[in-house]
Amino acid sequence: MFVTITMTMGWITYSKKPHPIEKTLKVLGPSDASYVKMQDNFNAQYKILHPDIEIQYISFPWNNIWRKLEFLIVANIPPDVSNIEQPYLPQFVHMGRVEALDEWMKNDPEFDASSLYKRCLDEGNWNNEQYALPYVFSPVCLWYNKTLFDREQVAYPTRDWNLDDLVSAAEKFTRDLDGDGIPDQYGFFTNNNHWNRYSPFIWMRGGELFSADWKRCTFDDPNVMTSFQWLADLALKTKASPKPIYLSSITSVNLMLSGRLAMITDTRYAMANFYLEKNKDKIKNFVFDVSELPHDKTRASCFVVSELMIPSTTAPERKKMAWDYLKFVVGKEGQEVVAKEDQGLATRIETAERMVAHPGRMPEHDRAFIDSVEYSRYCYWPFPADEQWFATRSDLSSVWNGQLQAEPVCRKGAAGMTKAIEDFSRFHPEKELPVHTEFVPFDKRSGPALADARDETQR
Amino acid sequence: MKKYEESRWSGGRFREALAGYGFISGNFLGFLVFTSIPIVISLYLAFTEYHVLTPPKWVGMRNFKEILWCHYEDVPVMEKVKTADGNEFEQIKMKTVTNPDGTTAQAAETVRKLRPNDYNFWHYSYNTVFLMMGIPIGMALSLSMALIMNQKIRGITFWRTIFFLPSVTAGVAVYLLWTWIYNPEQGLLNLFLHHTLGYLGLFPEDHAKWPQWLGSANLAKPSLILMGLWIGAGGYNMILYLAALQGVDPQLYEAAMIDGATSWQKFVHVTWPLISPTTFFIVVMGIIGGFQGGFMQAYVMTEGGPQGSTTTLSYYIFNNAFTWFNMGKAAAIAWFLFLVVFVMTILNWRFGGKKVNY
Amino acid sequence: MTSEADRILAESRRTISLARRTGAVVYGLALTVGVVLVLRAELAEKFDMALLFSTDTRGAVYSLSYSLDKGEHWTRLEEKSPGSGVFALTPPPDYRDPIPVRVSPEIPDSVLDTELASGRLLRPKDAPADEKKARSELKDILLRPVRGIPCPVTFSIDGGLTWRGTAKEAIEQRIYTFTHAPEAGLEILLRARPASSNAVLGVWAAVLILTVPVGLAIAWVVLRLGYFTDGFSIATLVFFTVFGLTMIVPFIWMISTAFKTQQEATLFKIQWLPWPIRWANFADVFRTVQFGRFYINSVFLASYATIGLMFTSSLAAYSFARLDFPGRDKLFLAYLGTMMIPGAVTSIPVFVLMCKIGWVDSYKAIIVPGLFSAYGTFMLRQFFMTLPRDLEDAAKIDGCSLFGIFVRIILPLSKPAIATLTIFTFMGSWGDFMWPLIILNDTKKMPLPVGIQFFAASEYPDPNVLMAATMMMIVPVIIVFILGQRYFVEGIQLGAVKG
Repeated sequence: MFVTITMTMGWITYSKKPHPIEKTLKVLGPSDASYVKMQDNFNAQYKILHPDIEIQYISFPWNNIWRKLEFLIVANIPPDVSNIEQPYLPQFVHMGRVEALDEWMKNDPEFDASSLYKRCLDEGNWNNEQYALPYVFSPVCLWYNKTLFDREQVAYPTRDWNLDDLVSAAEKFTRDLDGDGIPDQYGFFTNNNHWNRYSPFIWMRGGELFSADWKRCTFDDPNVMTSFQWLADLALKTKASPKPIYLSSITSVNLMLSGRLAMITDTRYAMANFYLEKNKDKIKNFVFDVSELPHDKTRASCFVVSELMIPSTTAPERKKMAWDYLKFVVGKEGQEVVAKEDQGLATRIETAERMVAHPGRMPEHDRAFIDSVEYSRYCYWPFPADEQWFATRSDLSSVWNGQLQAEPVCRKGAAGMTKAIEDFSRFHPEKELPVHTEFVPFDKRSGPALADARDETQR
Repeated sequence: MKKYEESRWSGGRFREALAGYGFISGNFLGFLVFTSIPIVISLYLAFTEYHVLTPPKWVGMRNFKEILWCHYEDVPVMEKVKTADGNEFEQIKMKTVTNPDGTTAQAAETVRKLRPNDYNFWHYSYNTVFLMMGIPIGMALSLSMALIMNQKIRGITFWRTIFFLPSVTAGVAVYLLWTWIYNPEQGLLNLFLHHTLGYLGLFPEDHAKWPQWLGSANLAKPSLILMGLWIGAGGYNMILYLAALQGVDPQLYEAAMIDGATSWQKFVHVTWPLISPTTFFIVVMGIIGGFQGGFMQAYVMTEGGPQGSTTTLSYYIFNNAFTWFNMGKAAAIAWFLFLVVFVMTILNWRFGGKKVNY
Repeated sequence: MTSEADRILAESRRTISLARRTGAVVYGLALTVGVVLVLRAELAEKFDMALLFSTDTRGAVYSLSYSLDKGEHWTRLEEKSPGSGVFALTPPPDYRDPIPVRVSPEIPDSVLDTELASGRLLRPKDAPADEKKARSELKDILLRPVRGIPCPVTFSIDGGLTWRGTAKEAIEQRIYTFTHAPEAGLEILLRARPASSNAVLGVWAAVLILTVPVGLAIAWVVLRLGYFTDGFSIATLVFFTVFGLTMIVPFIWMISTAFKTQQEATLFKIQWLPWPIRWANFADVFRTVQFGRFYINSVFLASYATIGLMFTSSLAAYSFARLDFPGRDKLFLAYLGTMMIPGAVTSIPVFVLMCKIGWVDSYKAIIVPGLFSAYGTFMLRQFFMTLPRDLEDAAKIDGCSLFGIFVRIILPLSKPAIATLTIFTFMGSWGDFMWPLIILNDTKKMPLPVGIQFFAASEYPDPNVLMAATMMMIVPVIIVFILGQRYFVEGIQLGAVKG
């Protein structure tokens, strides 16, 4: 009897309601609430334009989503469209799992590549082929507490500041408030454990983290080593920043919200924190604003971007459906959904320009994000060096705390990562690592392969 | 009667053979499809590079060379420096070189060394063998438990049930439970040690100095061994030993006692040889299982451990095959593992078989 | 002479039985008093809490604050008006946060009025319109956490730093605070005071009085069962108890954590008794992940696998044991050889096969490979070979077919072996982790071990919820084992000793 019960249960659970596969679009993405919400809005909008197609969002927790994608592709049940985060895109490209989009873009009259920010498009361009289209991004800018600036009577940051201006202004804020000899209020802090915080400061000085062909790690470049040391000295030598160890239980954003930190660097997603329910009363007490990052020898900033790609093993007839969806997301209607979410910026130029301004709501100079796009880029690291990258990162935390100097750590990290890349190449000699290239508009393309080095004018 | 034994293929025998084949057909089909053919296929895959989506590409011994062989390499010389808070950091030794145009620059000192191709492989093999060190300890524990439990008391079943509970429940849930027990801040083990040893002053008060168990590269493997002992001490091995002990003829003990033997001598000369078949069985099973084991612990508890210290070969194979889809390399490692197990079993049979004589 | 010997014998028996009895009593009392000692600290503080709060406003009050370099530190506060139980923190310059206020547990209405009027005490945003109701609700909010329900206290500052401890520590360190939800823009700190010593002593007396009968009961049980007779010394019993406790304690810890609140589960000290008991942990498990679905999947897969396996294995084992056909022994040797193959070797090609035929991520892929097991065939064959042939020969003479013999004679005779194999296969399939992990990807199809690991690794549950989930997985296994342990034990011996 027990047997029959289980068997009937099995048949019940086994039988599925049939849905027409040809009219269902499978999209893979993270299961974070913000992504799910955005996807719901996409679905609603898409239904208006294509009423017969149903979108199925396969959501998966963030930490394992790339394994899931790989598994689905290998097992021959790939999603039609997938989110992809940058460090993994070159890896999937190397394995040949990503559909090249150049042909689709060229042959589709409705798609206009120039409507998207070129810098964002570049991020999906490898080996002179476009592999992914960006749909939401956010550069890093300088957030500052206007009220505190007023109180201490320091001039607001502008885009013409250089790094010395930044340090001297920040030092004016550092002071001891309750008389115990230890400062409670600081001027500037950047969370150096995150690559998108320290990479702008390195690029500004002209340093690069990896060689253009990804064969070598250039952490031991003098510019890079000086930048890391400068970042550490912000807390150790100058009085501008607190030591990171003190912030282990309170984040920089929260410190800023308590009115005790004047400037931080962060992406536009930080705004979500400011407008959280629980912080509403805190921000009544101060005014915050945004400015572009200061510059050194050149201008540089880092951005985060989310992209969509099409797995190459999807059936050809479904690829058309997938391409239509991709077109929609980076087109006018999809980008309006993104802009309405108000977390990241829309990658479509016209939408971003039109919808970024929110008069009467902080930050006032929201445009700083858009202005900084032209010199922003993503921070890549070659995927064979993943393990070593994380090991170097944990070594670097000793640098931020003043236990070690930046130079030996950087040299060790460079050697380790270069060796990891060499080992990888030795056992995969048939295929080179993919090279990051730039998107070139179709009408400007002349013959075969273009230069693969990064454009010198970006420096 | 002769005509019934004339031909092997006479009626009765033929029917019997047919029935024989019929009966095992289902099982045999499974055996073919899921065991024997895959063995051959995986041997083939071990010599290829295969990523499932594209056809396998023959590369010969490359996979095996990758895991087993070594090469010469210019390795930078490392030196140890002390950090500001007393820790040590290994950094690269630099030396000044003069460029052709007279300027000086800093470059790393290198030395030509023989380096394994896949250092991880050897590290993980070491982990696997280390974790197998728990087998003799577990055996000794089970044996002592069995010796003590070999008494006729009412309620011995109660104790046996209690001792057997950990083995019966062994699985992912128990590993999750132990992950929480090994939590350095809030887990049972550290809190208990702090409570008991702390009173005697043997345990540091500072939470930061508490042993990190699964989070420390040195302690992770012993923690896994300890957990394995807890799970296995009162388990299958003990039951086996109990059965074996109950098979020992009490007259032998009496004879030994008459000869004036102490309990230790009784154990060594009477008990141990008589239960040696069981010991042998446990050792063989332990070796076979030990080489293939450690997967669940690595996956559920430590994700491979702090700096790869709890990754065993079977977890490495899993990662190669089902995370990175390097089927060729995974098959190569799996076959290497199989050969090792095979050789160990044969060796054990040869030499251990002698111990079974009594 | 005999009466003399009898007398001596009787006397010695009395002494032995006296020694036995004392030993048993000592053992029983040691157990119960030990348990009470271990729980002493917890019980003390839980009873303390219940008798704690009063309107006595003596004693200094401190507030916790945080500074970047000093970390946490305490500042002393001044009482606003003596005896009011309301304290205020003098705000340092430039802070714009609302002023934190401390309110005594039984605040008089007049004081509440004054504070509300002055704007220092803020009404909660969603207070009801009825003034009386609003006021009683406000008091209730202030008072409820305190009223006799012992619970750990949590502080939260600046949305980042939290301090957790028990009420006892709060008292010892003079922390009399409890943060109320900061939507109202205020921190309410409540006072606590150590309980009067008489009350505590009374409670302890009650606890100890209870332990004595329990200890004596254990002693009686121990004696009845025949412990402390010759050959079973007290040392053995103590050893058994210690070892048994080591085996059991993690499970007790698991069950106790499964009922705790999140704060209690993450305390930096051992808590054996959860209070308040949070039954919602189990509901949380079902809410965050489809735990019920995992159960059903496991049962479904395990039963299919077991039935299928029994079917094929018993047929094959009978064939190997009784029937003679060419290649039988060689084939059986091959079967034995596969038992040595690591699972990793075969799982790779089988996975590829599943990918190619499209069985990936389906139940079929788990059940069908599980239908074959060399171990099962081996074990049953060994068992069948020990059965006497007479019945079968008689049946053959009667004209029974081979299959009939199998069904009518062999199967009924081998009930114990089949039962054992069924249990082992079921348990093995229930706990099977690696293969479903490899082949499944849809969370709806996951069986219990894979599902629970997925839950632990992707939802980052609090320890109490995680323990609730593990408890739901382990406890049924324990129950099944206790009911059917005879088969387990016999099966192990059957399978191994004969091999």
